[in-house]
Amino acid sequence: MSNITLPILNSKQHLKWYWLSIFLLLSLAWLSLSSGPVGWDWKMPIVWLLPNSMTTDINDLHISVVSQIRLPRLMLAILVGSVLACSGAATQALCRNPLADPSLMGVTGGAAVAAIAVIALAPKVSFINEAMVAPAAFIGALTITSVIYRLANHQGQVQITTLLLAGVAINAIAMAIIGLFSFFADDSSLRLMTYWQMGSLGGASWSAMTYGAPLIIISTITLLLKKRQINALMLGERDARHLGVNVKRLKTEVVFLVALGVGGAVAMAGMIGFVGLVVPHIARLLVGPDLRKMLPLSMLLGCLLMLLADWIARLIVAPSELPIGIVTALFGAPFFIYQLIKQKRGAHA
Amino acid sequence: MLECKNISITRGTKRIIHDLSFTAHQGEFIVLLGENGAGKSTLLSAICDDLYYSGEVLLNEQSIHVLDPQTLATQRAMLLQNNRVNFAFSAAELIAMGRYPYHETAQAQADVVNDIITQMSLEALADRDVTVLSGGEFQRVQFARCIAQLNAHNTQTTGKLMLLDEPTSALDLHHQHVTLSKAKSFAEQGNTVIAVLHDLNLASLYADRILLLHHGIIYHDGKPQDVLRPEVLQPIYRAGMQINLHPSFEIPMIFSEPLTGASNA
Repeated sequence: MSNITLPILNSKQHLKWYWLSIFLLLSLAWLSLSSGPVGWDWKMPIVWLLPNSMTTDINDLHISVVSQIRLPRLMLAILVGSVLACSGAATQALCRNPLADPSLMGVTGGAAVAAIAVIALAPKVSFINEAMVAPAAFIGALTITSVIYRLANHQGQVQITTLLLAGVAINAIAMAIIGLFSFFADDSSLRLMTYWQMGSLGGASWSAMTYGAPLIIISTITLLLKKRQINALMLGERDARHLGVNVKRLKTEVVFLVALGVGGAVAMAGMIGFVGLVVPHIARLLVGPDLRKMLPLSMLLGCLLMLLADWIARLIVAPSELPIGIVTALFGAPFFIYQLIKQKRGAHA
Repeated sequence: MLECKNISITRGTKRIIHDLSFTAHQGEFIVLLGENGAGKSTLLSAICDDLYYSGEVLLNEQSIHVLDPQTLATQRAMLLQNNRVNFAFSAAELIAMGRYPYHETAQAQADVVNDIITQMSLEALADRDVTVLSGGEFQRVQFARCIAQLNAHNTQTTGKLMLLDEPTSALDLHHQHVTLSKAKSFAEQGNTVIAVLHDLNLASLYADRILLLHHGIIYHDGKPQDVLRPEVLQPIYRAGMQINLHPSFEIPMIFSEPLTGASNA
């Protein structure tokens, strides 16, 4: 009998990272539900479960702050974090390159332009309203993803340089169009648009979530269900097809689902960059690139990163708050540069 | 059994394969030879339905277009050339990807992969990151993935088609023989193997039949001793050569000569 074991194939090692992430996620969730401008109280998240004698210092205002402000914000962070990480991992598999990311490719920018167009036009055009922001962001994201992917795909090989350069160009166009809308927007729209551009969880509310959350939930669940097929795509289109994957259909589905997820995220929280780049990278380091293990962990880490970034964004300039996109960019952009240097070294090795 | 009927492939205005037909039988190890650009890899791509072609490809008397993709994947595998992976899978994980068309338990999959790793002496590579493997090591792992895909580790497997595009291009002498011996024994147990090779002596050692391609047509089709003759090879390869019999195996061995003077042009 051979003495070879294959620890990687049958290992349950990845589960420890799942449990650790879940523990940290619950801790951070508790922290974000307990603290805020009206004060800190550890009992807040479980106020409904405690006997009356322990909750004498908590009034209706506190409860309404938790249920109407902090809880939707927490849910938004979880939804946006998981979908951005998941879309990032799926995009990287689609492009066969760990440097691909919806925000760098201009997908987020495309979604934001469409969303901002709706916000800017809503007060002026009677048939446009808030409910159209999420579908508009999805269409914006879908258009850009399809165009960019077609531009960069040459005979089944995705040229990462073309992908990133096209992303730079599209982001520049997006910024110009957003600038144009800002120029003509009224004061209330302008403030909203500024926050949109930099990303913020501040606008979280149950009503806003009803439009974007379904997009995100459909996107993440479907991507999770397709993780085995997307895994095969990482070998390359021809190899995946030889293994029995319907590559053409799968590619269309991934493009659609990424656009759906990013569209939903942008519609609710604006442009939050680099999560889709950084989080899958960390997940790959911890459990390897197999999406069956890596995708669920990416989603957990995405939530975790989003909660952490939101906490930093609220803490650093309290009682005001920074847009969360600034925090993720401050961490994410240097990480991207580090990755570029690493790839360059790899190429010369 | 593989039947290719009237295959023609055009890219732009250039005709790469012209009305090519042949039948590959069970038990045959066929080597495709020909100069660069003769259409060898393109022909393998057509057999895999990777590009548009006119004509018909039948696998075990069924058109490859009517077979369900996952069933087809258990019947036919191809080793591509120069196809690196950008993600840090371990070699064992990459081999396990070959099991994609099979719906089996994680334990059953691990057993198959384990078996293949032992058969192909890949123990030292099993846990290594494939992005840092040498070209030859990676080629061995990819070949093992094809074995996993076709159940080729099992000596009872028959009726399958293995396509190898330059499977030994990055391998040392020992591993050239390990790979081709495995492919040969897989063919002998009742399967079909078609390999593109550039090494004429390896072709002579392993091929049951050689298809010599030239400008997209089959220029010569026969046993190694029929094809590997100076009058057949010299016009194709435009190099001087002498052919002697192998002292032990009595098969043709090619001794090529350096280009000199006018023939260098």
